[in-house]
Amino acid sequence: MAAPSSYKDRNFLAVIGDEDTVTGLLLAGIGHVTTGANATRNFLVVDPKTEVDKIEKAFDEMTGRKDIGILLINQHVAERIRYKIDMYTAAFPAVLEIPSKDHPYDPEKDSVLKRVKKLFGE
Amino acid sequence: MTTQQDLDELQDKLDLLIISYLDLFDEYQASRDEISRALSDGFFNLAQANFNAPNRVRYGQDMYDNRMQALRGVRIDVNEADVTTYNLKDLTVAEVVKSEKSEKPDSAAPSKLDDSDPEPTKEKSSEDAGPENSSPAKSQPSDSEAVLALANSKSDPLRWFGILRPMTLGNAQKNFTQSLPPIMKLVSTLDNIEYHEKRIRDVRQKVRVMRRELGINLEDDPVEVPVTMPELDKLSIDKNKVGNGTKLNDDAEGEKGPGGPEEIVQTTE
Repeated sequence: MAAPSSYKDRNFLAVIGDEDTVTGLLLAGIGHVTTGANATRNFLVVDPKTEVDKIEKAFDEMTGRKDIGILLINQHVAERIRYKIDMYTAAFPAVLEIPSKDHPYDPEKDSVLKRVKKLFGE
Repeated sequence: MTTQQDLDELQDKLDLLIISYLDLFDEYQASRDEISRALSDGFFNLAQANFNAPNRVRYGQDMYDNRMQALRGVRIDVNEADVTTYNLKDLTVAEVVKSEKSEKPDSAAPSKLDDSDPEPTKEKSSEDAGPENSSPAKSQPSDSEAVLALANSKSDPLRWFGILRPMTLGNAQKNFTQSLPPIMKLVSTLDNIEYHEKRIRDVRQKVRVMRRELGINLEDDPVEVPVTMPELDKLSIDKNKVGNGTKLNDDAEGEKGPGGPEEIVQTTE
């Protein structure tokens, strides 16, 4: 059983996605900028020009934070750092791929569907 | 000593686990649909808001308030079986109530955590605006609620986008807020699915051992296909191309020995 200290302070959601997704979720009230000298955000706006390095860095930073419980990432952005997502095995924060405006949810890329197929030998 | 009855019981248990697993998978897909629907409505309303925006401003990252504080967050609970559940948490209300309690330890301010209501803050602010709050009997709770309403209305992200914002922006906010509860449910279901997968594998292994002990034919055992990573899939496609290519080259160059390219072509076919 996971120690309560590993999840007790994980109060925030984080998001990596295109501008509309981030704007929408910030409107829903999940956005948070920490106070202090090293102000950090719990969101990253990704556009087609955003370099993969920057997405990777944000992913590492957000999954390394102790106050984030769920990291939401657009499925098409996750595709750009797929190897990192596949290698991510930590219990917290949970990483969830969500659809975006231009890229609806694609079941073919869903890791859960792949696992079900594997379990039943299809 | 293993008996046929033990095996039957274990297989019944496995069946129940698989039924439960498939139920969870059904829940997973339902939550996926719900999230997709809410987000899709949100994107539509946001697009309409951008289209109808005065002065052609775009409601996006240029207008975010860099002092933003989270209004909604997550509460994580882990049970004895190590299954995690995620619930929506109203952060601002919790914090304000907490600070209120610390200031007045004797005041019995009730906890305002509400997981089911997507927009409790707005409702409270509208309730507090009513004239009945001025009654002296309610003065203690209405004071704290007034503080909540003020704090919440000031931190409403809609305010970042000015006063003359289209109504569809508010609708988009509602849609995105509605997507949060199914997101929590989906993440919880995912954890439960993983837990069931582990148990199914364990029970299957036990069934195999029991069958072996009883001398039952193992041919009808479920066979798990090894997972192929996307990278490996790509590699195998590349290998096909390389195999065909080398075959053509070999034909042109002449014979190169019995192994090599011909073998690759055979395996890929």
